[in-house]
Amino acid sequence: MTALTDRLYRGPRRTDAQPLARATENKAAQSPTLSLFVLVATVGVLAYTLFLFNPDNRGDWLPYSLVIVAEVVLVSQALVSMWTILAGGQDPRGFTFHHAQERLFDGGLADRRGLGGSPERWPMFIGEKQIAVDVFITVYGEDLAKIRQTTMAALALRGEHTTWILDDGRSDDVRDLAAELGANYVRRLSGNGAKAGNVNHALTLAKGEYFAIFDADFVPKPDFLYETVPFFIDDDVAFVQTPQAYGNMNNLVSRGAGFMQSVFYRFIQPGRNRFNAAFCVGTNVVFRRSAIEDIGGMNTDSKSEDVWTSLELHERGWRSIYIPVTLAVGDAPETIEDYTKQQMRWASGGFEILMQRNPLSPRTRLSLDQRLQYTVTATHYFAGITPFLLLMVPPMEIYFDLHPVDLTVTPLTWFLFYAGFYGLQMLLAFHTMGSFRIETLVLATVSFPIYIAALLNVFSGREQKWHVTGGSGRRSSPFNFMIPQVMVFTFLLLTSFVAISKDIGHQNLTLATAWNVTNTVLIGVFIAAAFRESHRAKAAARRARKRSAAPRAPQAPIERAARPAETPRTTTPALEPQLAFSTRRALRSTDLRTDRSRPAPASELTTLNDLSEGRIA
Amino acid sequence: MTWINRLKLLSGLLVVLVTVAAATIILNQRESQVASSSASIQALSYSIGSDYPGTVVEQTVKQGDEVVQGQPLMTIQSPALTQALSSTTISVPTSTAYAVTDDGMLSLLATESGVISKVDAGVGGFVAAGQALATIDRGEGMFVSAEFRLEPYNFARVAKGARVELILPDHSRVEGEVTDIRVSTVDGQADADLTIASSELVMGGAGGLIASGTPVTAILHLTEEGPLAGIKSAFLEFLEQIGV
Repeated sequence: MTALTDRLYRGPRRTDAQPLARATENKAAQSPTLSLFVLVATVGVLAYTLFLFNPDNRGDWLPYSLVIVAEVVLVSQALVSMWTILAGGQDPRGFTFHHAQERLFDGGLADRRGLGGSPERWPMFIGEKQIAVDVFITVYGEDLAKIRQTTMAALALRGEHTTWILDDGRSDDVRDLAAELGANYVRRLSGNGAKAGNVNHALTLAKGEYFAIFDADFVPKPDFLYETVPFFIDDDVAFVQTPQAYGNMNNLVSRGAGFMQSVFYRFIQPGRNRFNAAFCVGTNVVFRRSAIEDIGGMNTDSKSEDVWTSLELHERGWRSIYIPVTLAVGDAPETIEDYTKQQMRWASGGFEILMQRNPLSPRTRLSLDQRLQYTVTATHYFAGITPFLLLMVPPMEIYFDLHPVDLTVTPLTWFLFYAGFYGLQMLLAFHTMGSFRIETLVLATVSFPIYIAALLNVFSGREQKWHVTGGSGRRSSPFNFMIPQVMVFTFLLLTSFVAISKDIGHQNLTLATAWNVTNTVLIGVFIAAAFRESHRAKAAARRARKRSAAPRAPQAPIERAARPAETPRTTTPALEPQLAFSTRRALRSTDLRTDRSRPAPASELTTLNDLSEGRIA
Repeated sequence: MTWINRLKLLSGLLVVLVTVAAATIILNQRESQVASSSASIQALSYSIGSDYPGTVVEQTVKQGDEVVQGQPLMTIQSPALTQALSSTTISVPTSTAYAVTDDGMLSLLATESGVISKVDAGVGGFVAAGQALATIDRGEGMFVSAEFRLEPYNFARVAKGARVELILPDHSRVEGEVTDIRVSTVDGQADADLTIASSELVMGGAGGLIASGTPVTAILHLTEEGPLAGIKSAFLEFLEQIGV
């Protein structure tokens, strides 16, 4: 890092002539060409919509209405996202930010205290007043090496702060690690409210005006506080969110999931910033303590506590800031299990907002901008359900000769309009992200059962239950989470056979057959990835058995106790984080099931089991 | 996978299989039959005429009357016939179509049993030789003439003797079979004109609906071919075997 902050500021305050290099921010969001692309794509979208709604093109009512419903959802989502992307080309930093950032550290004071060589102890000032910042690392049975890495990075953040490990996994190893590294360690007796409950509990112990939250697998960069804290010079800023960047793009699921999210973090969130509707994602975020106190603590009633907390803050008139600068790198879900649970959690959060606090209802106290954006959040996952409707259209034509569009419309016309819609969006993705990832398409096609389940769960007020481990403590197979996908794949595969033999009989290839085969292949890629994942997990388990059979000291027995349903800790390093990650999520959803309706009473929050002799004042 | 999930997956796959099988049977059903673009019942009809010109003096039947073979239809007084009878050089042939009397009266007879569908001359009218005076629709041997617009690949699957279902306007069904095929090609499609015979097509049947000109829908069953051909018959055989 050769940022300005490497030099300690001395002497009278001045405006810096050298602006800070914002290397990590996405230039494409500010490019005027993006506006052109969005404009052209909008024309394409509108042309496609008019084509579909033209009564002359209407086919048989059943597939036609399926297509219309799906495309209306997709088209409106596409239009709103493009609008949001266009809105994002504005830098949230104003003069006050830069002014406050320049004055964040006091070089003279640091020199007098002899802290020149330890930037993590430089006092920070907001508006000439020294501030105290707490950094929370939420732990729930993650891999010890990962926690060590995150904790060391958190301790090394530039600017004076107190680092806390909030251990809901109750591992003595983590406690020893905290003592070794010099971080505060907090363990609570109850698991109420999951992560949000954990943070609320920590807030009864930590007293800083600001607190940052990191998931145990997100390793912050040294400049995290320097880039975020100066925003709090504005009294109405409740939190500053930074993106989740991923360092593990090494298989289909993590690449697809990571890529999907990078669109969100690079374009959608900066756009939402303009609407003052950027929401917190639970990690890589700094909060103003008084804002959280204003809403009575982090929301613990939902699995999507982060979105709900943001909504409550926005309702109370607080402002949120999002900066698209990568200040922490973590892990994207690597297994189908993790991906399914993550998407289930997010989709449930969205649908919960729709059912329980409709952003368009007059009782919700939001600005018009925020209403629009929260409506988009609440309805976003409907777009995830539409692939199911579209997957069913070709089989209808194959089996029942029901056509979505009129037979006189030639495939070429259809293709041109279709390309106008999807082709231009792919082009937009290509322009903004530098590539179009087939993995994203695969995941987008196969994820509909998750979103349908989330919708049904929220609608009926049920909790998703997973039948995962068979009780023998083995790693669960990815197929436990994809029964509907396997069924749909089988259906499409058989339909493809029927379609091909029908077409051979007729001696002409139909569009329906082509689509159906394409869809089969897309889902097939996912099924193949699941087989690979299952194979890897089995091989890892075999190796683990072989090694544990050898006469040697048992490995990390305490950790095994913390995660009773896992394989012994001798799996390959590549597999480690995902194991830990998945268990944590699984256990978390279990706790929530028990205390969903019951916010933790204050007495329970203050139950302190073990607080190490840290550097607490 | 856990056992409960394996069970779920297995029953799910079973549901998928049954769905695909059912949908394939429906597809085969639809693939193996074609509906007519237009079809109507037709009857073989016979025109009644006279060899001798003259004046109609008596008409014993009117349109819609049922007649039996040999029944007199109308009487014509013909000077030409009188002349021929009195001539020694010209002889009057005997015919099953008419009977003559010596005073030059000619009685036209029904040559076939059936229904008078048309009467062209009235009492007092003058008729020329060879003019059609009445039409008899034969009561038996009615047939359906149906037009089908077929894809070329389907035309190969139309065979003489193929089964045809005829749906009458009251939705009752009559079985028939193809007796004649004529075809012309329009816009790359085969316009097939089929003649369909059925023993059940008897004049006045089905509450009077079976009559010449009644519109019907003809469902032509095509010969089965291709890899999916056996599925339906195998399924039906299976149903029969288990006694459904």
